[in-house]
Amino acid sequence: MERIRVRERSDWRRTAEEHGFDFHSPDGSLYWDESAYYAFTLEEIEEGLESPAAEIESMCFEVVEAACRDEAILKRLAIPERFWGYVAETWRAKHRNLYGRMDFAFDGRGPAKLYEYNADTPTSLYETAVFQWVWLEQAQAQNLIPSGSDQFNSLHERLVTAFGQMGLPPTLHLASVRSSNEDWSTTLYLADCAQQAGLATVMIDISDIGVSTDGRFTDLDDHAIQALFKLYPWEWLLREEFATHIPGAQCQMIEPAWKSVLSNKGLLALLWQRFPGHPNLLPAFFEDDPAAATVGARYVRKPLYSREGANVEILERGSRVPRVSAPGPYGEEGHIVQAYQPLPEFSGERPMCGLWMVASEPAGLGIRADSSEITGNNARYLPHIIRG
Amino acid sequence: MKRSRKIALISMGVSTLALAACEEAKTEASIFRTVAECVQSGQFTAKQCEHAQAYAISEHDMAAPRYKTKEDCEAVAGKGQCEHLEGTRREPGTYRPGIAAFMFAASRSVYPQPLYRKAGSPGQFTTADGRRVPARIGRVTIPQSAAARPTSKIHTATRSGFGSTTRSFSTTGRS
Repeated sequence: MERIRVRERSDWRRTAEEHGFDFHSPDGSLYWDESAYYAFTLEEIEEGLESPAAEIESMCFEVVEAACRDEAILKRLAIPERFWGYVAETWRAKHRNLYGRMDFAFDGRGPAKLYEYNADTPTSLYETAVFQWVWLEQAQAQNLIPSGSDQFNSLHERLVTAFGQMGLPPTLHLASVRSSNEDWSTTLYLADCAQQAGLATVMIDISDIGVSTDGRFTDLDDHAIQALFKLYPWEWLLREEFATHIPGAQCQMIEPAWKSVLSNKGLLALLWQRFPGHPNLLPAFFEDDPAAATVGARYVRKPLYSREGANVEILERGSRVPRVSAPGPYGEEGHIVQAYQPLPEFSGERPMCGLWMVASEPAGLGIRADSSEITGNNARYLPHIIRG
Repeated sequence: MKRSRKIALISMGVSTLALAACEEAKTEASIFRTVAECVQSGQFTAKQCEHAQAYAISEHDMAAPRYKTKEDCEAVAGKGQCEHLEGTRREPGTYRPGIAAFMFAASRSVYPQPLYRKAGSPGQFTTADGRRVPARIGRVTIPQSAAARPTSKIHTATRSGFGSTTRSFSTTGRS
């Protein structure tokens, strides 16, 4: 694994806008960064990232299976009690899942370490599946990178295939927050994939969803929503006014509700409990677990629910002041502590390897790099290649 | 190769074509009772036929007219043409006509949808919105107004029950 500086394509901003990638430089700051790329060997990708991700996915299934049999686990994860039955039912009925992203600390040599699993509302999908792919094709054509380079990125093909295999009704509704350019564009991209799988699609702002007199969800044309993709976290949905309607709405949800077990930082403690010493896991505990004291002198404290690094703290045992912290609105549902494992440093930046899963199979890699030890929403996105 | 072979986007980055003003009052459509009949016509592939029928069934669930009693339903659709729908906790059971046929067009100018029999009019089917079309199998000419997606028959009681967290956090749900 190597970071290599490279000339930018001269017209990439226009190319981005032509491809619907209009959040490449939000608020004038740099997000898409092709002044460098990461180069991997095929072995680093397959043995270092892809195999561990596949293995962790099956370990996650064991955790979900256990959670759906043991309400104490669902309670530990702060899933509201009135939805325990529904969450378990979506697992037993094998509701299909679409995608997720596992974040690893990986330097190409030692075993990749799982930081967390964004199993419900992962982002950076479009830039990974499409724009990174376009970069590879064009950068090769312009002789900026070695010809014969490849990329771990079959996301687009797999998304189209997955939509076709989820047993969906002919019309899929897709909801997210319209005022967020990034969320809405990502949702539009998923709608495009669904169309390519033969589905009709309807986009809707999450707050425009209605409930009919017989308890079904409706769109703005008063059509029943029979299947809903939502780029909106389960832990929020389950605490909002319409939550009570979800179990009886006859609506297939994507992601299914059982994903709320995996998108929770408590998963990291549950994984360590079941698979202690696994080479791709970091020791992790619920904060109030006496064993949390064994996590090490320097450790990371994460809220059960947190997004884009918000409210994550790096602490020294015995000191109340975090070494590094990120502000945010999360934390009231509890915390986990995780052993400190710094991200590797390449030319002053710290890359995080986001390993994408589609229908529970490894499907691609996206790298975000931050100057901070906590990858936050100021991180830049850098493309990668597999050396030919 | 560890990457997608090709990527084509249908709708992103491409401006949608404005719909042409509606001058024609008529349009072409095809009507079949079964997928087999549709395939036999030679006009469509099995996949197109199955897809159209699946759409029609989905629209049937959302848009079929509903009646409180079997008698009310049969008065419109004809004797023996109605099916019972189980009630829910919130709503009593209802009756709706069964699908007599499905209608669509290769050009997508006709939304694939269910058709129903009409009591006393053997020569006509009706759409879920009550528009009349000829009760003939195969290619037919229909009024443009019958080609649209049927309107839903469900009533939205309330909206805006989702989205409060993102408003209160002034953040979005990505991670």
